[in-house]
Amino acid sequence: MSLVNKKALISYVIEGLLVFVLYRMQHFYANHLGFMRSILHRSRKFDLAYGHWVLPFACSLLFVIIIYLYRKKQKQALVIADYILLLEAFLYLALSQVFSYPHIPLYYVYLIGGFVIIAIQWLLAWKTKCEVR
Amino acid sequence: MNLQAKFMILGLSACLLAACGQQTTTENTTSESKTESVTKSPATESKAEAISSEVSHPTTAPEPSSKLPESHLVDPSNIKDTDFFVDATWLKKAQEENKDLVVVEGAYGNESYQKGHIPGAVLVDTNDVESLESDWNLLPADQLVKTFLDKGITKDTPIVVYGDDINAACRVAFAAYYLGVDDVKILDGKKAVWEKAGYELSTDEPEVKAATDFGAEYPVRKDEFIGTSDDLLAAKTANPDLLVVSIRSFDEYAGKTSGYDYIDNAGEIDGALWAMASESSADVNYIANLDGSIRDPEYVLENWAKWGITKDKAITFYCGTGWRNTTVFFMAKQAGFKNISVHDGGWYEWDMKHQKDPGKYPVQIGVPGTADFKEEK
Repeated sequence: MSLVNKKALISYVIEGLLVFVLYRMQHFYANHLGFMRSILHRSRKFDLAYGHWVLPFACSLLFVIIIYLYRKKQKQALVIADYILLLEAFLYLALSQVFSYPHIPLYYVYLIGGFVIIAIQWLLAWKTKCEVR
Repeated sequence: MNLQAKFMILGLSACLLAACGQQTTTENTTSESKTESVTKSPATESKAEAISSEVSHPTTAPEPSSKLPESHLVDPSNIKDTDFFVDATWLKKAQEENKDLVVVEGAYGNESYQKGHIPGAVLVDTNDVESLESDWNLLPADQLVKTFLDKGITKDTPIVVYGDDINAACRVAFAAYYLGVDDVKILDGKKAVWEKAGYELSTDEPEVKAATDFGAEYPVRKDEFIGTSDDLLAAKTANPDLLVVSIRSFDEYAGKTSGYDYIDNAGEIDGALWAMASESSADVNYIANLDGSIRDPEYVLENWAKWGITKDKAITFYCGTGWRNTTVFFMAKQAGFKNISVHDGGWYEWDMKHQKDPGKYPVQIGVPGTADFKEEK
């Protein structure tokens, strides 16, 4: 297995684990009082402080990724990590609007988790470019 | 990634950081407006002196509860109709003799209930009696009564509440008691005492027939409930001799910790006395054994008496958000305290109100009589 594929595999495993943790967090939230109240408290604070920035941030992130991939495509062929990055950015924008504090108290955890997944994916795409070079 | 893209990302990040700096949340602005003062008003000062002259305050943490021997409030051979706490054998017999009895598992979440519950028990989730919107206070009576009507519980339905957490069970039990359910009892111990007594748990969901009429003007026992911080102020105005008693842990009382992830500040309601009950923010270890059964209260009541908390006084118990104090309430009631109530808002609500209006909701930090003690108004 090439070094690039190994890194891709590791990053997908990490992302998969993160998605699993986020999924299990819902169950933990539903059965642990202290965790539930803490999350609700922080979600409310996050929503009050940053809620109105979520849409512009997600749009800006998608815009930057599109520009980055466009410029990358002009120099070399895009790899699968690039397409996954773009897909995740679209998903992040869509889900950031579906999730909102009143409906999904864990939403700020999901937002941050989603952002971490995109960051991992971007790092992989960037490293892939470096390896190709 | 080329230079242009890097600058774009830097620029976006800078915009984001600038936006974050312009927080306009009420939490931030009100915390900045909090003022510190050690000045006491003449009325408050004379009342504080009066209390101080009557009582002594604990100045050090009590010995760990692990050093206390196991003891029991409940005497299995002499459980009276007026008792709140009952053992598993009593409950088993009552279930067989009274088909109207409803056994309630009081818990947050359904995981424990689904793993196994006392046969015939219904689940009342604590989020069905309180909510963040109500500042974790009991829901308004009209909403609260629906929680119990949905489980077929009316004023005349005898209920026994139990749970893996004695405080969760007492919380749900108090909600029913406050509304006006005539006969509310609590299993003396956690769920495990049922199996320890030789009885099996069940995973069968019981058939529940919802009721439509509670059978009384509710809440019936509103005299034993002081809901919000404003209700507490009104109660203190109506009865200046009312003792406001914190049953939180000593570290919470001493202002060393708020006890909760979601409560930013440590301290107590100004003028609060301390009643030994909790060792941490999640237990009532000085009044409950490891298995959740209630201890013989003689030891704690002796300490309470030293600190001016006696059966002849009007007392309202509070904690962080209204769970632990309900356990203390039922224990004290069974131990002979007559004129007592539960203050629901607790430190959680009082602290939030203090941030917005320190003068109206003053707090004390530290143990009275020590060098670290101060009041913030």
